[in-house]
Amino acid sequence: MSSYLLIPYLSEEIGAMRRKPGKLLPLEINILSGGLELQARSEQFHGFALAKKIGEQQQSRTLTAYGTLYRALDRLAKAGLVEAEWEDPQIAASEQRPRRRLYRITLDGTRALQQALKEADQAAVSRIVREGT
Amino acid sequence: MRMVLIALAAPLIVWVLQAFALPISEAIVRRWIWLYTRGMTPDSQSKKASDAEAHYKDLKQAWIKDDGSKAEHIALRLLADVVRGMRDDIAWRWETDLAEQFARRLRSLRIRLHLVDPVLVRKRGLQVTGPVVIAIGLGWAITSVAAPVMSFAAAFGEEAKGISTRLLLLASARILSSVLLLLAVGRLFAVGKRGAALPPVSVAERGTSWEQGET
Repeated sequence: MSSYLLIPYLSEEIGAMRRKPGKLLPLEINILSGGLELQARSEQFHGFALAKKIGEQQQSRTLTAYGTLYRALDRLAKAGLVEAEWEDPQIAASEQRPRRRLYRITLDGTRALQQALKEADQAAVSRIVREGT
Repeated sequence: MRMVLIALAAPLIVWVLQAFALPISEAIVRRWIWLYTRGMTPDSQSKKASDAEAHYKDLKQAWIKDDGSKAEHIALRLLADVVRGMRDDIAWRWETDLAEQFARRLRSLRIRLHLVDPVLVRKRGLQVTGPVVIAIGLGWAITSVAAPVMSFAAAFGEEAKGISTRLLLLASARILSSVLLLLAVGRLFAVGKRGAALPPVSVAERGTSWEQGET
């Protein structure tokens, strides 16, 4: 089997999932909406604050796992929906902790979230209509 | 006497667990991060480790502050968090650079096979083509089937005349798996022949980006 066939196959096997272009996954919607809420208070946010925010939104005591959250953040950063940068090392040193990665939702991210929410609303309305008839 | 010893040792065991559970789980977490970032540049590796350490430090502090969790509970929750995210850690690594590394290694293997081919043709007059590989493999498959049959015969002598259905099934499975394996190898050889002309594959090309609709 050539690598051309094997690589997408393995990638899917490992956990990637196919979806329509521009479609956001539920976790990505949560990240963008939680991130925007955090951004309203301060310019940037870090992953743990975001995990806590998502937990609050979902009223769940279990936070999103580190690997799951950062993989989704990385994906959103690659897509340009989120901007990421490393924290100033001096701040981390003064607070005696390792450096964090700080995130900011971009304009594209805000638009993508609005679009996703709009689609979700439309889907909910059409479902209600379908169930009613 | 034995019960007394257990009763005396129990608090010590609990104390040891309480004292070392957290450092052990932290060490496991660090080891896991090291493992799935292995082979990356030292800079990327240290950045990922720092990112994860910062996250887990915040997580630990939140557990202590909000829930008043004990050390052994924190240790378990930490490990549970890592286990829940393992699948995504591996996928992240795959998406980051492993896919490209894998393609590069496979390409270099194909080129190596391509180099072996003319040597065999010149020295032995043998061209390593798909049918040749399949013929070699069939020989291997037959011998691999013959081995258990012969050992069966040796063990049971005359009784081995009626070979059991189980043995036949085993033999069929071995032949099928061997043929499948050989077909794969044959295909690799076939690809190796035109490997040099193939364009390089990158993660971006196979469309992992959000715009292209694949995660």
